[in-house]
Amino acid sequence: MSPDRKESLITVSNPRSPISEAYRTLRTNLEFSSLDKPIRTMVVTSAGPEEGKSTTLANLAVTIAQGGKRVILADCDLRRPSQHKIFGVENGRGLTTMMVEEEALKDPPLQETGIENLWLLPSGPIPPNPSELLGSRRMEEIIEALLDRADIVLFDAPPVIAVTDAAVLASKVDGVLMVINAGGTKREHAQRAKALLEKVNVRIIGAVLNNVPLDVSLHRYYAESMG
Amino acid sequence: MIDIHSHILAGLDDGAQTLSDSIAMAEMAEKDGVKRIVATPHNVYWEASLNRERVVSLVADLQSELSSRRIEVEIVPGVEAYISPDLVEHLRTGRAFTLGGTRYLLIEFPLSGYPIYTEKVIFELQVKGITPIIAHPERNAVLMREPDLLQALVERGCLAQVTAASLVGVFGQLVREIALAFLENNLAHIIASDAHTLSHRSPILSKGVEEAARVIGSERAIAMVEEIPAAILRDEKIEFEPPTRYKPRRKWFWRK
Repeated sequence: MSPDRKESLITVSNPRSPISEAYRTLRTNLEFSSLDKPIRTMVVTSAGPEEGKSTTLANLAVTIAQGGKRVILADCDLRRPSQHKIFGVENGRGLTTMMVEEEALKDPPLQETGIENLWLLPSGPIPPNPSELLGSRRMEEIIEALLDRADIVLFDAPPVIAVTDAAVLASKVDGVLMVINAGGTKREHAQRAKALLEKVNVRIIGAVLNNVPLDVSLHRYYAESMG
Repeated sequence: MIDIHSHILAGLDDGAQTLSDSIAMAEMAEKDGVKRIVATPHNVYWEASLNRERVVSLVADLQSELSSRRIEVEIVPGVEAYISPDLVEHLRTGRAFTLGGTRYLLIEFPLSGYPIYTEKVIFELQVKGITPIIAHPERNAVLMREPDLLQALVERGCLAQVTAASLVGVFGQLVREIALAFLENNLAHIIASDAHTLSHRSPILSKGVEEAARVIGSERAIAMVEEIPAAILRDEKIEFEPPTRYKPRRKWFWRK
């Protein structure tokens, strides 16, 4: 495992930690919130940069896979892709390869993650026109191709406020999960992000509050076992 | 040492003009400790009929001339591909081709500009599995002024090659300081000669490496003419430290 991966994937390195427990709660909440219409495609994004959406998403993907579902995590942050770094895999071929190559659309360049039931579709080379690609008919074909191979497909998308990518992609999926950095994200930024998504008729499934200070007294039993 | 950028082939561009020029350049390189040279003639605006076959056959001719004179330098076919919207098409027709048949393509920008189609062309190449190497960014008027553009290219997976003569000061103090700053900030990965003649842009690499060593240390400087170009010619994927934000040196004239 690369050092990046050890740092970022706490659900792999320490599945009994309170943080991993919080991810399992998130998984359950997501299932519960969509009982009547199961979510099969979901975009995870944030209002601005550096809020931890990619790490949160990677751990959520691991947790859903640990629950037994087949998961594909697709890195659609075509501006600053990071999932390949988190999972320590190559980024030579990926989503953008599927955009231009017929063969890759039929046989997606999925990467093994070392975690059962979880595959990563890295971003591939960074294109000059990300929002155009994510809004294309071809992107819908890619989503279909990925759904053929998984129970749930999770998409990492750039922050909502800076660029239109997330909103464009969100209109093609079942719903959006917002990652909000407690104490980091400005209230009006979160509200603006929500408004931007609602404008394009996107279903916001919920928000994850990230970086909440742990109340150690509540978790001492677990905290002691953290390595 | 290995030199991945040289206009040693005669009569194709503004580099060597005659066979004896080529031989003298190879001799000079050999004395400097260079074991392998990638011959990289300009592919577009000098010679209309240049293609891979022609370069391969000229390389073979030069190699046998060098062998008969016991000059122990290996020549590898390559090209310095001028960036253009149809560069991918040139790869198909053989007018552009990679260094020694590897994944690495040496790309030249116009010295004065940064074409609007740059990112599109880079993407088209990368999707085909090609890793672009940007030739001498320290001499490009736009990248000199806006190193953020180079940083973005490197973050997209491009490599960059600085010219040994730039490090020595042949193109002036500003180019020299910018070249050193690029090295310092992981914005360049290879040192090559871009040799055209015996003087000015000569085949000598060692002096540029010495200058680089003063800023980034000799181990990293030597890797830029040894391990890294060797890995390139073995067609290996190379991991580099990510670029750091380029901070212009407070005084770029403090060295003599």
